[in-house]
Amino acid sequence: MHNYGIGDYLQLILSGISTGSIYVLIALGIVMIYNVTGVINLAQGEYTMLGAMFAVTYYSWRVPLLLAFLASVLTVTLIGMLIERLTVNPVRSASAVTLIIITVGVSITIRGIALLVWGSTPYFLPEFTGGAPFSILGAVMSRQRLWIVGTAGLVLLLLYYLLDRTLLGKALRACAINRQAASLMGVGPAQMSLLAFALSAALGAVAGIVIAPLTLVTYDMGLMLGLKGFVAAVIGGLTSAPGAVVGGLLLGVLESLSAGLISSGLKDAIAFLVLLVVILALSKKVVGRLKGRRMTK
Amino acid sequence: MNMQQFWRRRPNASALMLLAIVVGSLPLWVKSSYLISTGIFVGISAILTLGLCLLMGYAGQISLGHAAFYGIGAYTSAILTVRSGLNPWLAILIGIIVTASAAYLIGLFIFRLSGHYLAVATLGLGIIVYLAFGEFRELTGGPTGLPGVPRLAVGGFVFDGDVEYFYLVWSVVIVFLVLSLNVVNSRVGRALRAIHGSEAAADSVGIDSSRHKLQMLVMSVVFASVAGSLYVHYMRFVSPQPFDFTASVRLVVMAAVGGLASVWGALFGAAAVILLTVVLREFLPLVVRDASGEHTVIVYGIILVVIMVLMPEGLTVGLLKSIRWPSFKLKT
Amino acid sequence: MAILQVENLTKTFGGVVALDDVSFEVADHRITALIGPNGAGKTTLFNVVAGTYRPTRGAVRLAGQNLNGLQAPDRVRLGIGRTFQNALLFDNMTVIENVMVGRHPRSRCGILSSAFQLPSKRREEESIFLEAMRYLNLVGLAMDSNELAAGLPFGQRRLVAVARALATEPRLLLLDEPAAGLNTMEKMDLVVLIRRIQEMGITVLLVEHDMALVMQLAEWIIVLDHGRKIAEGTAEQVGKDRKVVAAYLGQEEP
Repeated sequence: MHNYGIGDYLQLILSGISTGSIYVLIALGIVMIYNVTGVINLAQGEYTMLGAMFAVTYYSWRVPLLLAFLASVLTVTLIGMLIERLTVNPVRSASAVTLIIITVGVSITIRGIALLVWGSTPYFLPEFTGGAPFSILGAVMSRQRLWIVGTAGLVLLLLYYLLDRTLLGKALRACAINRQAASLMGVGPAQMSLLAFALSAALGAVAGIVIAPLTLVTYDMGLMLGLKGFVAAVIGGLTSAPGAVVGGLLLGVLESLSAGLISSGLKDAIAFLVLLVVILALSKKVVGRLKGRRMTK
Repeated sequence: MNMQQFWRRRPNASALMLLAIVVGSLPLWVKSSYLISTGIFVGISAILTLGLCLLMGYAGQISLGHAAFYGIGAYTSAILTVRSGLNPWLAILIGIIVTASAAYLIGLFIFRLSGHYLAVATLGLGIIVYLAFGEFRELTGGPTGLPGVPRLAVGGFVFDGDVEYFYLVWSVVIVFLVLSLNVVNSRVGRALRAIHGSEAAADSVGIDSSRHKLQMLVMSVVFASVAGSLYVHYMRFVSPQPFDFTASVRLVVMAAVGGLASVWGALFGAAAVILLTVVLREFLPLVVRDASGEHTVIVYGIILVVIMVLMPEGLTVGLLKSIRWPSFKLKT
Repeated sequence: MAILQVENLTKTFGGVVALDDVSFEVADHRITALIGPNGAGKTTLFNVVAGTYRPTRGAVRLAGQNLNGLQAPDRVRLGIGRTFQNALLFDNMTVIENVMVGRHPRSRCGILSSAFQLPSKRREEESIFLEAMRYLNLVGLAMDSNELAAGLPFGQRRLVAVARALATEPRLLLLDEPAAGLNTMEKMDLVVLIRRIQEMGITVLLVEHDMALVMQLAEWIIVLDHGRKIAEGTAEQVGKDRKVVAAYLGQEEP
């Protein structure tokens, strides 16, 4: 066990924060869909993959990076809306099991189509700005990581503005709090569901594009990301947006620290171990809340 | 109505006999080793799906990590026979004990959760177990796996060829079918259906929900463990790959296609999905250039979505309803 | 001897006090009625007695035994049976199967004996079936035994629920608004049924809004209002009690 300096710890933590930001974006998408529609979208990670893939494709058509970014987000948003119309809307009253299985099916289908369209070879996206890695107090990090955290922060601000200051956002929140009351006030649950999916797809796409330069873009990159984003959402309580932020960042840092300090093989396992611990810890509270009157009170 | 009439409504005995005849005679007129081998995989998948249907359909618990138990049974058999030279049948028994105990412990915690949290917890557990298979190299052989698993043998007779193994696997399938049908058509089965119908009412007639759900979990896991052991003694090799998240999903697809609360549906679902995969593997490359086995994955996904949207009770019930089978009751 | 003793029972949900220091006894073999305006806490009381809710304070005793800490399924085994306001049948099963489920606490076969179809299981299944038919006969629904519960008309659903509860062989039967939604004929049949249940040795505690029915059946009446017991006695005594009248008319007690 060699001596770690401040710089090493800092590096692990900072890179954990940047990865965590990705998880935050994905987790927010999951929380939003869950709050508004009650569906647990296990296909969330696929929007991330699609975002990265489309960005790569547009960029390869010589579209400038920024435009490729926006075009990709738009494309994925439309895809998300299409999915909502086709698979979630017709069965909104189905059981939890059915809905979860449907999202799993959607995830498999998207992955398969991606394989068909883009093949299994990895793709690359250049970093948003060139330049040498920068260093803070001995921690060396790629500039893209700044972009990740910065973009995530910007998106969070935009989201906050949307949800808190615009009528549409307030309608969305109303729907999340009490669907029936909201619909009685004229807020259509079907439109809100569509909006929730659109926003979540956009969030996922942003996450994918922004991490693309740091990783291999492959047709199956969405699976693990989606699952980890999910863990982050659960850590935050599944229904809370600030919780998702905390969950994502926490997960990113935990992952980074254990991979760096204990074993890199543990990297993927950490997320799920944390998941189990959190679920068990929450279970009494959770069961009481979810089951309501069924539980002996 | 008397007791005789009540029992005569069960077509199960005749169906079982039909199955036994079909399966028994299959190797006589199917000579292709590839198809027999496929038949073996259908049988193993049927055992797995049967357990999952009992868990998801009757006990009403989602499991997105069932392949983990399949894997634990497989690895237990492999490790004990390869590294310790233990008698394979004993190893299978130990596999059953290990998975059952693990499931019991897990169930004690996990059944406090409901719906979404349960699904997620099973997903997480499944992935952790899968990752563990790849991590502990000295024990499991790591990602490259563990070769040299011996064949199963009874007395002097070794289950060497595909045909013998086919009979072995399907004998197990039939036995497990019988056991499942017996449980479903019993006090326990009724208690489970009651829990499904209304937990509050089930409480009011003295049914301890957690205990019954736990029992079903253990039963389904025992099935998975046996399936895993059968798998490794056929492949004579074990690796983490067949026990990943996708495998768990595939099992859920099979269960959903067959109809979650249906014992016969489990068999049907497993057969349908595997046969479809085989068919696609043969024909897809003719339709789509450069298509490979990986592309069949799309079809899984589409099937899953279509079925769950249009026929959530599964293909068996959906199809039978559409051809208006008159006396069909959901009790199979 | 009182079969049921409710002692200083209090139940709060967050800030809401649903039951406030309620105490009463239900004498063995008597038909007792629990009445009170809507929201008085009657169903809450049932839920506490049956074990669905845990009391905030106080105790419930069945034949002297303190039930605190015992879960609902355990209480059934000790002899508390109940029905719900909306029947809560198992719609995914037939009528006879619904009642057979009621035999659950009085039968034993577990997974192993069921899976291997042991002779003890076969014998028990036969007895479960026969007993269930007996209870269906008692409520007059033997003809419809093979109907899917989901398809039954409202009044019959009630009867199946009663048969199912009876099948658990309770000592104390809690009936939650058994007459709600029934027509005059059905109510008459209900009275006969409840008297028959009493003859079987079962103590009946019912929550009911139909005053005529209550006056006809109940040998003892307990009146709740806003979670408190405001009166108890025979039908005559309770009918004359000013507090009871005020509670129903919504006036403040003078």
